[in-house]
Amino acid sequence: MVFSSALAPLAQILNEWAEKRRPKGQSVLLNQKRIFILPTLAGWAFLLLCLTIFLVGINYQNNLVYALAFFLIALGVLTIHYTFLNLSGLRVSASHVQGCHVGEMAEFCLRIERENRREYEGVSISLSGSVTETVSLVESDQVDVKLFVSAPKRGYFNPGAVHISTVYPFGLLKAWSWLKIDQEALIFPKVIKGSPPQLSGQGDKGTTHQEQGDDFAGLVEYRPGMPTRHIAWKQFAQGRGVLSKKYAGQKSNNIWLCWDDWPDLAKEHRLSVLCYWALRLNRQGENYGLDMPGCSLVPATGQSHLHKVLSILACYGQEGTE
Amino acid sequence: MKGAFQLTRTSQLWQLISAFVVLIPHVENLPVWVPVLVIGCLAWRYLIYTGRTSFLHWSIRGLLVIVTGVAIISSYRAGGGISVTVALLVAGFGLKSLEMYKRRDALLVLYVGYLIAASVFLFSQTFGSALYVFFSVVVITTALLSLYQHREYTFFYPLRKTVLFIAPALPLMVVLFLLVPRIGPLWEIGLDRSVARTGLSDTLSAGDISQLTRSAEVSFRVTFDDAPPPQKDLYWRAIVLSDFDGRSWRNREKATLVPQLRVPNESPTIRYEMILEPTDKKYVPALDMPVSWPATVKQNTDMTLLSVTEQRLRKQYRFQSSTAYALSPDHHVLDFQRELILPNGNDRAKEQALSWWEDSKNREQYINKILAFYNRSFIYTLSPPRLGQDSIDQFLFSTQSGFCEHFSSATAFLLRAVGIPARIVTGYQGGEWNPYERYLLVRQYDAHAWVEAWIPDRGWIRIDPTSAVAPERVEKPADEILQSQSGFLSDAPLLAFGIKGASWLNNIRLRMEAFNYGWHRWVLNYHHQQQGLLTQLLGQVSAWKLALFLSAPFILVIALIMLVQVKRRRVLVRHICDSAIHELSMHLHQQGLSRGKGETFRQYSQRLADIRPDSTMLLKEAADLYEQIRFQNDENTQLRLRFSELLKELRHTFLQKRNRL
Repeated sequence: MVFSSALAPLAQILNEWAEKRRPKGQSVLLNQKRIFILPTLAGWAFLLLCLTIFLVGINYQNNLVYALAFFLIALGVLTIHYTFLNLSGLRVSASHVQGCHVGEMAEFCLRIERENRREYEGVSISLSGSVTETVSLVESDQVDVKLFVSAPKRGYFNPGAVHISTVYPFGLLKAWSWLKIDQEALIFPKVIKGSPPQLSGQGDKGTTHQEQGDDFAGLVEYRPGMPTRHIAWKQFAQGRGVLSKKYAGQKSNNIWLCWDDWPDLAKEHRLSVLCYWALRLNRQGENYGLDMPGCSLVPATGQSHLHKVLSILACYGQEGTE
Repeated sequence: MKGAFQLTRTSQLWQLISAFVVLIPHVENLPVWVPVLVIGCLAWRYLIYTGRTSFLHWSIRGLLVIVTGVAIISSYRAGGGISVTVALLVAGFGLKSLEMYKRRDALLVLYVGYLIAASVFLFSQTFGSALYVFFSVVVITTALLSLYQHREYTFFYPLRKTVLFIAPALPLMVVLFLLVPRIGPLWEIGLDRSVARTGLSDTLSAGDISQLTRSAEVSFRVTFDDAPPPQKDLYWRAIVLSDFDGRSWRNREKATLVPQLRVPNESPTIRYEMILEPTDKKYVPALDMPVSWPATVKQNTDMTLLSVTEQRLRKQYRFQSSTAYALSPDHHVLDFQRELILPNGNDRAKEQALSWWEDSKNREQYINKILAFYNRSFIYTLSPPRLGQDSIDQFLFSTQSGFCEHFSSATAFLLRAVGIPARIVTGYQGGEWNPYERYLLVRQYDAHAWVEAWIPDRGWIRIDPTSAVAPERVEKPADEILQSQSGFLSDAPLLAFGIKGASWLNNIRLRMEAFNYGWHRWVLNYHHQQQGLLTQLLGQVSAWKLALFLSAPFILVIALIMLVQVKRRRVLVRHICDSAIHELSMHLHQQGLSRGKGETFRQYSQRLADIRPDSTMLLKEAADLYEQIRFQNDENTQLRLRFSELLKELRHTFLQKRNRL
C-alpha cells in the first residue's frame, strides 16, 4: 500500500505522457510510434524456460541442449517483431455509433482494416467497460467490431480510448495501443412511465386515442418511421408492397409535450417522463410537439422527429457544460 | 471452468499430439509404467475431446498425482540422478494434460514439453535424436501457436504458420551456437549411474579383456595432424598394473620414483586430438609414449594419464606422443623392487624360467625364448578354458590357449622369476581407420594388454607376447582378426554382420561412421573447436567483436522479415478504365503531366486540354465516356473498348509532341 502510494506521482507522470502520445482522430493508423510492447507473464516464464535449458546445457556440457536453448531464444527475439507486426499497419476508424437510454448499452462500432496483405490474427479490441472482442484479418481486408458500453448519464457520451492489443503468435509479448477515436453516442434519458401530458394543446381539442374514430383516407407507401400498426397487412399479403393506411383527421391532432406539464417532478425524472411520452406518441403515430424552456419543436411525426425530440431531452441543461 | 477461455478443437488436438510426440523418445529411458500412465492420460483426454467422457473429479486427479509421485521416487531408490527428474517431469506432464482445458493449463504442459524435449539429449545425442527433437519442438510450437488462434482453421493451418515463424530462427540459432562462448559446468551434477559403462578396469584377471571384445561401443576417436602412425605402433596406454597376487594384477599404491623420459631428437612427434567417450573412470588413454598433454590431466609416475575427475561426459584432448623413446634407462634394478615381487605358487613356471635363464646369454635372449615357446603350440582364443589354482602353470603347460591377458600375465611372471622387473600395461591396440573422414576409431573390442620389462640402459621396453602367437592381431585391426571367434561382438550382432558381410555394406557403414564423427567433432564437441574456429574466422577474439558478430545476423534477419512483411502492400483492384488512365498518366509523367492526387479524370483531361488544345475533342469524349462507364455503371464492352482506344490515341499525340520538340 505504502509502495503504491509512493509510486502514485510517477504513475501520474507516466499516464500524462501516455495520454499525450495517444493518437486522436476519426481514423488512426497503428505504427511504431503508437505501439507499446512488453513481455507477458507467459513471456517471462518462457525466458525462465530458456535459461533453464541453457543451464542444463552448461552443466552437462551438452551442445545439443545449448542449440535448443539458442533456438528458443532466437524464436523469442523474433516474436517481438512478429507481435509488433501483428498490430502495426492496422487502421482503426469509427464506423458508427448507436445511442441508447441511460442504463442501457450504447453501441460503438469500429472498423479495423489492414493497409497491407499481412495476415492479422488474435487482435483484441475493447473500450473501458466493454467486453473484449477478438478479431482476425486473414481473408478479408476489414472487419467491423461492435463494442457495447453501459451508458452512465444522458447527453453526449464518449467511451474513452480504444484499447487494441495482441499477444499473437506465441503469447510471449503483448503489443498494445490506446487510440482516441472520435466517437460519441447520444444518451437519452431513462424511460419512466408517468402521468399523461395535459391535453390543453393549442388549437385542437382531442384525446390521445382519437384515431379510431377517424375515416380511412386511403393508402400511402410505407416509409420508415410510420407507425407499424397502420401497415396494411392485407395488401402486403397480396404482394402490393408495404403500404400504410392513412386516416383523415390524423394531421389535425397536435399534442404538445410541455416541460411545465409535470410541475411536481424533479428535472431528471421529468425528462424521463417526457421521453416516455415521446416514444409512446411516436409509436401511436401521433403528431406531437415539444415545448421546453428555451426551445420548442413544432408538432410532427416520424423517426427523425422523434430523434430530434430525444436529442433535445438528452442534452437539456447540458449545452453549457458540453 | 465456465467463462474462462476455452481452447479451440484444433488447438486441443495439437496439444495431444505434441504431448504424445514428446513422450515417445523417453519410452526406453523410463520405467515401463510411466509411459503407460501418460499414454493412458492422453487417451482419456482424447476421449474427452471426442465427447465420450468427461474430466475427472479433482479428488481423483489429486490422488493420482500423489500415487505417481511416490511410485516414481520409490522406484528410483537406488539413485537415478537425471532419470528421476525426467520421470517426474514426464509423469506430471501426462497428469496435467488430463485437466488441460484452459489456456493456462495448456501453456504449462507445453513449456514442460520443451523441457522434456531438451532432456532427450541427456540420454542420446545421435543425429537421429537431434532431428527428432527438432521435429517435436516444431510440433510443440505449433500447439503453442494454436492456443492463440481464436478461430477454427484447418488442421494444418497452425503448422504452416509455425514453420513460417520458425524458419528465420534457424540461422540465428546457428549464429548463437557458433559464437556464444561456452563455460564450464557451474556445479557438480549427479549423472545417471544406473547405466553400466564398458571400459578398462583397475584390475586385470583372466577373462577381463575378452569380456570387452563382446562390445562394439566406441572408446575414443583420434584425428592425427599428420599421417597416422602404422598399425603396429598404435599402442594406447591407459593403465599400468604392477602388483600381482597370483591370480590378478592391480595397482595398490602409487610409485614414488620420478620417471625419466628420453626422446631421441630425430624421432617425429605425433600430434593428435582425441575425443574420449565417457567411462565413469579417470584413466585417459594416450599413444605410447605421451610427451605433452593438456592441463586438465595429470601424469602418473608410470607414464599413464589421469583426468582430475571421473569422466562422465564426452571429453576432448590434445596430445603429443613419440613412438621412439627410452623410459628411465639410467635407474638401477633395485629401484624396481615392486616390479619383482613374486607370490607363492606356480612353481613349475618358476623352474622353467630358471632353466631358460641359465641357457640364455642375456635378457633379450631370454625374452625371445619365452616368445618362441608361445609360438610353438599356443592358441589365441577369445574363449579359453577356465583356470584353477596355479593359473600360470596351468596356462603355460596344460591349456596353452588364451587371450592377451593370459599371455601378458604369464610373460610378466616369467620375467620376474629371473629378476627382470616387469609390469602389465592395459589399454587399446590399433583401431579402425576411416578413409572418408580420416580419423581412427577405437572401440572397446580393441582393448589389449601387454608387458613392460626393465632392462638396464634400455629402460622399460614393450613386450607384446600376443604378437608372438598371433602377430596379425597387432598388424591388423582387431575386427579382422577376431571375427572368426565365437564370442566376438556377441553383444552387437548388427555390427558383427556388417564386419563379416559384403564390402559395400562395410563401405556404407564406414561412411555413416564418418558422418557420425563429423557430428561428434563439430556439433557434440563443438566447445573444443570453438576457440580455434573463432580465431580462424574473426582473428583475435574480443568481447566487442563477438557482440558485433552476434548482433549483426539478428539485425539482418529482422530487417529481412520487416522488409518482406512491409512490402506486402494491399493490392489495389483497379477498374479497367482507371488502369488505362493510370497508364496514360505514367507515360506523361516525364512531361510533368501526370495525374494529380485527388484529381478527377474530368479535371485532369481539362488540364491536358489546356496544354494541347488540338486534343480537346478527344479528351472531352474520354471524360464523358469515363463518367458514363464509371458512374452510370454502364458495363458495355463497346464503351470500354472505345475508351481504351481513345486513351491510346491520346498517348500517341502527347508522346509525338514530345518527339517533335
